[in-house]
Order: sequence, then structure tokens, then C-alpha cells
Amino acid sequence: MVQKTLVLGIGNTIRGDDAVGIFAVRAFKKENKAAFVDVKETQEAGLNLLGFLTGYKKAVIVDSIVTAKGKPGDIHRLTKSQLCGASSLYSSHQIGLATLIKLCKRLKIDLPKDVILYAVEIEQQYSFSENSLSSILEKRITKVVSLIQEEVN
Amino acid sequence: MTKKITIDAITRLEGHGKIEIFVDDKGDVERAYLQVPEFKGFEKFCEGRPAEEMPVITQKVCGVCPVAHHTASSKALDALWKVDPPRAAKKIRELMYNAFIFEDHLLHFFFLGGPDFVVGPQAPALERNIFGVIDKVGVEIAKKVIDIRKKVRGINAIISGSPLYPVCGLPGGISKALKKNERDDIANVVKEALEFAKFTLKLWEDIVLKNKEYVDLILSDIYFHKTYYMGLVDKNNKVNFYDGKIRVVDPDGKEFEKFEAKDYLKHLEERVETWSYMKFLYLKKIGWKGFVDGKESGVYRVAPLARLNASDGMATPLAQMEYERMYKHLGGKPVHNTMAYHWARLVEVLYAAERMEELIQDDEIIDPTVRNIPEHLPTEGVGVVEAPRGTLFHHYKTDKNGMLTAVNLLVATQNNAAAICMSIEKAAKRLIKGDNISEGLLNMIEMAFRAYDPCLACATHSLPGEMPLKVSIYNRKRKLLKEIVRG
Repeated sequence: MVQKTLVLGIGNTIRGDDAVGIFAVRAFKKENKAAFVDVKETQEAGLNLLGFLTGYKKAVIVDSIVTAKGKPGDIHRLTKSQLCGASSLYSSHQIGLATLIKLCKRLKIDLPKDVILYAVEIEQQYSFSENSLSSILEKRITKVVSLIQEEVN
Repeated sequence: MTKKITIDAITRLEGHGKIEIFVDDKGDVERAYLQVPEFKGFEKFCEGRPAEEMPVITQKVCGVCPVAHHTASSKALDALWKVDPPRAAKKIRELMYNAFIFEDHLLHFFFLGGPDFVVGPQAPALERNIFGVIDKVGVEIAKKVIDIRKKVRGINAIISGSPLYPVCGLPGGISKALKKNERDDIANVVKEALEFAKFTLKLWEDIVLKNKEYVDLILSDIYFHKTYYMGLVDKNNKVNFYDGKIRVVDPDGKEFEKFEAKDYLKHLEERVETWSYMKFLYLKKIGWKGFVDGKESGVYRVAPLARLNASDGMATPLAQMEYERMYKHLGGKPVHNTMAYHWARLVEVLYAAERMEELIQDDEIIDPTVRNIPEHLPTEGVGVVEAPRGTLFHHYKTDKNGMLTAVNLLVATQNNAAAICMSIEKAAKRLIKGDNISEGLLNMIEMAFRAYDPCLACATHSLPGEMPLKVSIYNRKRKLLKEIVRG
């Protein structure tokens, strides 16, 4: 059986820029011709992502992020090992992707060999708006789509 | 000179919440505050929409409690259209709801709050997490936690179309009846869930209750507040997550008031503080006396321990036994020890599993009639459920076409907000003396709010939840004197 690649957009479609991951993978899906690529979207988090990731040889995840020095529209690429190295294991309410990866390694649960996270810096954090991105994020969708394309090729 | 210590939770969306502690020249704590970011305008965002959209919109307010919002919203729509769902629909909704409580509470015990006890409150941060829990309980149990949560979430995928984001709720019922083969599949999972709930309580007994240090911590005055307690109860005053009346008991455990969800505004009032975006709920008849406990203060608590305190017991036999054991062990009702929230949460896990079993064994649950069509014009409706983190109200008003004209949500953590602030401040005052502030002590302050399983997040996904903590100490002029980052 040929193992597939997963392209997963994460976000909340009523929280403005938070949905950038969702919009990016939707745009990618329109262009994608490869049968070995599954494109999915979710609002789920942390441990709950396990159900999406298992069974794929590679996963390309697109999500939003806000960092202290980042500017809206900046795109960060993080590999599985970078994610594991950079993150805290402390959690107040959910576990994150990094903890999930480490947990799977510890419990010998198969995850895709390659997990790539594209984290896009966003502008609107605390407001509600449906199916809309700020203009600076809109302009970055094409770039994110091309980055996903490079990853799956 | 006053110094400020900040326990700042940094997440993907920065500003999830932070604890600020102000220390005087002697190193004693003057005040401590919990601050959270404001998510503006959800009610306005909803106005003008068809009310039927609310169950699928409100579940996106928060990435943590979508089933709670969906169910409270569905019940608000029932009230709005004055339509009572068929019995099978109510039972399926309640089954879905108990499945959600089961898996959510387990997540908290094994991954979030539990490590404080299973690994130890002063254990190094790098060990005080799920990996420390695995070291203690073993890989096979950790795998079982993941497996049982996945299977129980699968129940909700069958019932509602999604393991976490249901789309089944409609005014007057649900969109899909349960088939016999689906019922059989669910029954098998429920059996496993019940066994795992029993196992988890045994684990609590072996690791926590047999350790005097942990029992002393639960009973410690550091984590103690005499408050009112609120929770949803059935007609026998037993805990119910899905339906019933809201019962409030006073700090002596006596019933103070009991009311229908539609009357919540007569009993609960919101208070605004200049230093917080969070609105603090209190009991209207008692009034706001500040961030203080006692019978004269309107501060009340919700969520697992409060639900047990506000009830006369559990409606299922095994959970009732555990309920009685807990109160016997901790000196009788009501229990005011905040750390007992962890134990109460596990009693609720057992109740949720037993209740799922009762519901799935009930032949009525596969009755094909799962919706009554509304026949009245909509006007106003209130729905309530017990979310894992406490009582959740949805209140809608519409025009005659069912378009929303007003929306009000009272979310679970708002009920506990005043008590959480008080708990943090009390723990900080007892634990911080002088400049020697260890990471372990800061964790013990965080434990004061983690016990409540507070939900300050709204849309957490891949990176959020990872909360490296930053402790910043400032002087009166807000000049940074010292900073500790852990994690």
C-alpha cells in the first residue's frame, strides 16, 4: 500500500486570522492534482490531532501563530525535531503538537516520518469575524500554497 | 518598595492568562491577580443570524468545550421555540454529553492537573507532565488512556457527526436516530469506559490517598475557602450534567436556593473589575462583598467539587459509593478544600461511565422519533448544562422570524472566576516569603487555579496549551528586576 501525504489546516473559521491554516489548505486543494495527497482541515487541538496524523508517511500542517518578535504574514517552518526541541512540556489546558510528537515516540505510536509545521504569524487575535482574513494575511495565502506544494512534491 | 511577580502564560496566542503577584519590601504578598485576554464581540457577532445556527457557531467559541456549548445551545433552542424533544432525543443528547465529560475529565487528570499529584507538586517542571505520569504508571496505562479517550470520542462521532464538534442539535431534538448496530458498538465501548473509570479511581487511591504528603496537601489550609456551591441537580437532588434545576448550597451545605435556568438573571449578577477583562459572577441575594469567602460573601464555586457539594449524591450506584467515600475521608460535607476538585472529578468520571451504560441499555434510546417539530413562534430561550468546568448558560432572544436580537452566554469559568482569584492570592500569601521564589513554589500557586480546570482559551490548537511560564519581578516603577522562565 502506498502511504499518502497529509496536508492539514488548523484554525477557527469564526476567529478572523486564526483561520489562515484552513484557508491556505483550501486554496491548495483547488490546485492539487496529486492523488497521494489528502487535504483536511480541523479546529481540533493537541492530543486530538493524533487521529488525523496516523497512517501517513508525511504530514504538512498549516496553523497560525503569534510570537513576540514576529510580524503578521511571517511564515515559520518547523520540522518534527525543531518542534520537539523548542517547546515546553508544561500545559494548562491542552497538550500541544510538540508534546504529542514526543508522546507518540515514547509510547511507540506511529506518526508520519516527516511532520512539517508552517506557522503563519497573524494579526487579529481576539475578535470574531467569519471567513475573513486581514489583507496582509490574504496576500500570503499564495506563498503558503507554494510552500505546501514544494513539501508534497 | 512593591515588587511585581508575573506568572505569564505564553502560548501560540499570547496572553492566555497570567498571574500577577505584588510583593512588598519584606517579601510578603500584598495582592495577587489572575488576568485573561478579552475575546470581544461574540454576542454581537451572533445577532442577526438565524437562531438555528447557534449550536454550530457557539461550539467554535472555545476549542475546549464544544460539546458543552452545542448542547446548551440546543437546549436554548428548545426553550426558544417552546418545544420539548422526544425522550429518545434527550437520552441521545445526554449520552453524547456524558461521553464528552468522561474524555475531558480524563484528559485533565492524566495530562493537565493530575501530574501535580501523580508526579508531585514540587517535582521539576520537566517531569511534572504526562511523561512523568508515564514513568509512574507505565507505558501500557498511558496507551490505554489514549485508546479509551479515542473510543469514547468515537461514540460522539456516531451520535453527532464529529468526535468533538457535534452538528446534531436542533430545536426539538436531534437530526439522527440511533441504529441498533450503532447502539451495540457504543455499548461495547461503554463497558470498557466503566472499567477504566474504576481503574482510575483505584490509581487515585494507590498514588494519592496512600501518600500522607498528598493527603495533607489536599487538606492544607493553603487551598481552602468556605464558599457557596452551585450545580445542576435532578428531581432527587442528584448530580446531573445535562438537565435539572440549579441548586445553590451555603458554606454549611444547606440549600440556599434552587431555580430554573430561565431565572438565572434573578439569582446571578456580574461584576466588573478595572484590572480584569473577566466578569465575576456572584449570588445576587447575598451581594458582592469583595474577593472574600464566608456566608456573607456572594462568591460561589462551580465544577466537580461544587457539583458534589451542591447535590445530595450521585444517581448511579458506584459513583455514589465513591461520593460517600470521598466525604468520609475528607471530614464530611461540604468539602471546602480546593485540591479535592481532583478527586471529585474522578467521581464524576465514574458517574459519566455508569450513566452512559444506563442510557445505552435503555431500549428507548433507539426509538426512531428523535425530533418534535416546533409549532410556536420563537421569542426567548435559556439553555443550561454542566460543562466540565461548571455551569454554562446560553440565553437567546429573537424576532418572530427566529433571527437573533440578543445573545448572552455565561460561561463556566466565569462562575469560578472570583474564587480562582481568591485561591491564587491565598496560596501566594502562604507560600511566598522573601525573594527566594522557587519554581516548585510557583507551581504550587498555579495548582490553586489548575484544580478548577479553568478554561481561559478560546481557540487552542496545535501549539497552544504549551505554556512555558515567565516569572517577572518588577519594582513599583515597573522596572524589571528579575525574570525566571521555565519550561
